[in-house]
Amino acid sequence: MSDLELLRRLAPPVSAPDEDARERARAAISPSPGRPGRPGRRRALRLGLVGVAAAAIAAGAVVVASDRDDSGQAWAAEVVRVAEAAPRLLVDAPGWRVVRADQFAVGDGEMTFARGDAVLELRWIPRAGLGDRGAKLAEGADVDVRLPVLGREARVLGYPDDDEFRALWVDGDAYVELRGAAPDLDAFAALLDRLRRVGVDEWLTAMPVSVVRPAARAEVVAEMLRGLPLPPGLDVDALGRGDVVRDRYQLGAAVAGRVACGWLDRWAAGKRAGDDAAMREAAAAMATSRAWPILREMQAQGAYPDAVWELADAVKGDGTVVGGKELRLEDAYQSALGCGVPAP
Amino acid sequence: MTLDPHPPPAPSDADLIRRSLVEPIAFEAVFERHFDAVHAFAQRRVGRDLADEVAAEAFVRAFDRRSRYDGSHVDALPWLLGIATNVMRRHWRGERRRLDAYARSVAGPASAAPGGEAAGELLAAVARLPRAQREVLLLHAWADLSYEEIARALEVPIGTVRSRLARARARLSSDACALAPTLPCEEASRV
Repeated sequence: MSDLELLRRLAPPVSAPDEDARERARAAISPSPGRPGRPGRRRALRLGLVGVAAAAIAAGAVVVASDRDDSGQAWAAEVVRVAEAAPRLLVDAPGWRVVRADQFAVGDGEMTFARGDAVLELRWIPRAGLGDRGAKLAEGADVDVRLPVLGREARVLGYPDDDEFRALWVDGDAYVELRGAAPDLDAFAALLDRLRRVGVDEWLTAMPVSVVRPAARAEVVAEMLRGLPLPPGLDVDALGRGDVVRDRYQLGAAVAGRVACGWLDRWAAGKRAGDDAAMREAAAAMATSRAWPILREMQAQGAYPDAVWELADAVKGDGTVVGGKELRLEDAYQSALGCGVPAP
Repeated sequence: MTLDPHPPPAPSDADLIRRSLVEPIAFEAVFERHFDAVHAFAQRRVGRDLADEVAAEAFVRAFDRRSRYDGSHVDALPWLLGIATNVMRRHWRGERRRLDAYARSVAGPASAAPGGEAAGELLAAVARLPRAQREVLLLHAWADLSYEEIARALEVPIGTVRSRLARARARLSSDACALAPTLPCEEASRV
């Protein structure tokens, strides 16, 4: 008997989870109201009411807001305000680059630096929201030392049987956390040494290519709209404006979503008014959605296109959204596509 | 009443996850299908009490991330076990203690577990493995995932899975053989 076979036979026996545990877990993901024992009402409400748009945004929302204006200022005031509230750190070592930047707002953001397979995750949140995170993270640590970082003192934690280290420090109003794998503490300390604080311009310029350059936003939106049937009343200029810019996937969801929402609004209004022509026009427009280039591009990265196409199939028929519990389109599309969420 | 001789096929996990973007409650079907399996894997690794917490958190995280699920994979279980594996990383100490205790119990004279003393040494060696190697090994041995499924679960290349498993087995072989000569060491060193 091989070691693997023996290990298989040694799998500890298990028993079925008890119903209370199952129900608590089910309630945590269920959007339906009124379940007993619900542990997270705020969360359940969020999931139930906001739908796919919020889920997509939570999964990959970005990041940089900027624009160049005619006065020669490099970045719009809002962008600078957001950037100034961030620690604005980069890894100053060959090969390291920013590959992700998510959920960025004033005083709260995340970035991922990578070089090959090596990854460092940086997170900063308002210091006021810190709570006892440091103490919690220190539980079980077998490395708990203080190291200098950017003129401040960081608490560095390491864990047995794990190659991940965390550095925690306070930078002005921000609590900063950097974590990443390193062969030993010295190697992690060397990475900390390579952190460098940069100016607003350099920091924003280092953002990944997945972030649509704010100055190019109108052009990118126009490119995304190319080949799409535009619903009556769509404000294309508004889509191309704004300080806050998302990464290409998120911007694509906003643009394609606005188009789809416009047509589905028209279909729903036509149904209410008994306007068959409006419904047919909307259905015909939505029927082209499988060929929309931006949705086809996004398909490889997430499921937003599938949500659009499922609704397109619904308006091709009588508005029933098929594939699960029967839904009427007019009850589902706004939350599914985030139609009520302001454009970025 | 007559039964439909050709009932429609059950929707795949990928179908349900896609559907849940429009109708969040559709995710409950994924939960019903896989909660027990995720719970069982967590139970084997961190014990029954923590398994409740681990499995629940894994599904909450999965729900949050469902818009990024790769719909080309009809079976979501590897994805869910990968998320559960991430959740369990914070319980490394409990898992190690549990493995050590389990190793002692299977090696005891009253144990009916296969392998006797060798089994105890093998489990003790598993407890000493680096985290990344242990995760791959246990997903393979205790969750029955293939190399490709483990790669999906942990979001690492399949070559990384192979090398981690090879290193884990080599290490088990050297550790366990040193302590329990009854283990078939030559075979154990092969991958």
